[in-house]
Amino acid sequence: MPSELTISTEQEGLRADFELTRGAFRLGAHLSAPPGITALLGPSGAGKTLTLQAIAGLASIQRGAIHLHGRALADAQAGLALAPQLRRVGYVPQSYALFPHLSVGANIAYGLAQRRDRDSAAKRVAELLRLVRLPGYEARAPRRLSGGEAQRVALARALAAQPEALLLDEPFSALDAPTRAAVRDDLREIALASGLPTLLVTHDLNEALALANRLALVVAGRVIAEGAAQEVTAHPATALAARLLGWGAALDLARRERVAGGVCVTLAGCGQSLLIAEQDCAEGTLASQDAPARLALRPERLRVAHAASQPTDEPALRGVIRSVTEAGPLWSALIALGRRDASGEQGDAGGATLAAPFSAREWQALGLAPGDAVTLALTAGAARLVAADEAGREAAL
Amino acid sequence: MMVDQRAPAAGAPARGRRNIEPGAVTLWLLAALALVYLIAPLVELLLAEPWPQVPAALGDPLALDATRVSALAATITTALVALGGVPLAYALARWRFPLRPLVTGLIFVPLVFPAVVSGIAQLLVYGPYGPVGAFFAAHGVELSDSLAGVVLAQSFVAAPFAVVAARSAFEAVDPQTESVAQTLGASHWRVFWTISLPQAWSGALAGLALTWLRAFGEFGATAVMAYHPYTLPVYVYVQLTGLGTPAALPLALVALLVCAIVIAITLLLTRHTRLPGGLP
Repeated sequence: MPSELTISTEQEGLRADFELTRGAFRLGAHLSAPPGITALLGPSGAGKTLTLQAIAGLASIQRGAIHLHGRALADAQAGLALAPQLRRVGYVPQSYALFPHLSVGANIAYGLAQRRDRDSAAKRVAELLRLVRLPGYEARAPRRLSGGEAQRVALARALAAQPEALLLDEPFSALDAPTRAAVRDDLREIALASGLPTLLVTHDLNEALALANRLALVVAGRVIAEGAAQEVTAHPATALAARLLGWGAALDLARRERVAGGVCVTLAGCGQSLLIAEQDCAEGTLASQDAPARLALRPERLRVAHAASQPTDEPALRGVIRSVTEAGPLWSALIALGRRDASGEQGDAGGATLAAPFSAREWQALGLAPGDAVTLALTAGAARLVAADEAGREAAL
Repeated sequence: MMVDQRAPAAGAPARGRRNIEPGAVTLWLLAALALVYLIAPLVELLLAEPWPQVPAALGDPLALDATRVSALAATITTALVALGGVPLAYALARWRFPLRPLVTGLIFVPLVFPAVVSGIAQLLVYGPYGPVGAFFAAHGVELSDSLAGVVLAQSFVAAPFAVVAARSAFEAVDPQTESVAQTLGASHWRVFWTISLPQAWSGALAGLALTWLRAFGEFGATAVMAYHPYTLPVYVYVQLTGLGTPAALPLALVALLVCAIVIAITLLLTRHTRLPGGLP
């Protein structure tokens, strides 16, 4: 239960602390969305859409409360559940759900307070269409709109009702990739200009990072991390969170030992040891030696060099380049961890591999080829000791 | 490389441009057979029609009265069904409540009951000795053997057509459009009238047209509940049993004509999905 104090500091924006059950699915959402864009990131089936529906009043909560700018939208203990039409929360579902029997203009005018005054309604609709860069679209039929246009009409329709918060469910999933990129900046601009707390659901990390300054990570009905986007992505607590937050690999450990200044870990398979500084150890991995842990890596932050080149002070892993693929603007090198054996083939059998991205220029400057032995220096933020998830649960996702 | 298994092998003789598949021909033949079966009685009716006697038969005041009663009762029936049946269809399509499957099944009861049995069942309720009928009779309103009786009989038998069609139409409405309308500030009432019903309208209208047609042609239940005033089907039966086919045939023509007009109007009304909208 939030105390008196937290409520007063959370006045601005949306605050959701609730639980609900739907069939066998339990959702426990604890997150806040201050003015600005907050991304609700998670795999499909994590409960993201249900979270939006509960906030909009389209699903009822069984415990906890939802507040918007200090106003209670729902409070299970007090038996309060405002009807959706009283919440002033704009909701844009994944399908946009434009009213197919109404023109674009009538769609937008639907939520206007002054819709009965034809002239001022028409003026406001025209304004909103200009805002979403679709001037003159009033008379069009929704089925004649492209995906990107439909999305912007849905956004204009939500804004017309003068909501106090915006909920956007996978706003780009219905769009093809080129349209997606073009529409993304527009959406961000419009949402930010509205000054509204905006909660945006997505399963795409890049989309979340491009649009939002805050991130809430949802897995299996639970918010497992929340905060400033860079903070959240830099500090995963578990291997699963690391994977969902774009960390490339989580390596199994053979041994881990608490030493001064951090934890000394020995990788399973290749047997290499590393010292992980205290600040790079997730909560729980320092204190309890029994809880299984893994070493998460961000391959894009590893400094790759020829094994023969000058060693650095940074802790480093050794590996062998197994193959290289060119994927669009990026090259991806598959690196087997371990030392090259006498035959010159790959590293120790059973050792982990990781895929490291390079720009074409970087790759050429390095002058590496498959079979070369390399060192992988751990720059700041490249490695983190995280809790290993129960195997079954991660596999299920 | 993937090889398309369906592509003809090189050197295989090219088949004719039109690919006639035996299965498709079978389907067409069955469809044609069904159509012939449906049309044959109509054609025969027109062929057997004693055309010279038609004008006189149509001038028969009893026939005109019967037609008027049938049309009036069918219209009142359809209005009543629209009033109660459309909301019932919406409830069945959208709301989850206990015994919902049972209620859904009950709607079909009038369709499977012999119409005469429906009439008897209704007579037990609305007849002069039935609980409802007795109450009204005490206040001077006869529910059986009156226009009210015709409407009651028709409504029972014809309502399922509208309810079933409207329920499907409501089920086809994207529930997200209703949810969004609510978040835009609309009450349930406004959502129903401005979002749900307009989207389901042409389906519901088609169902109501069927209800009107079924009501207009209703015979069994009406004959039991309200033999008088004569409806067109009852009058046709009276003429048939009293004077034989030649007297009944011109009346059948009237029924056919009225039905054709109503079907044409319905098609016209449901053909265009207009885009109403308050705003230009």
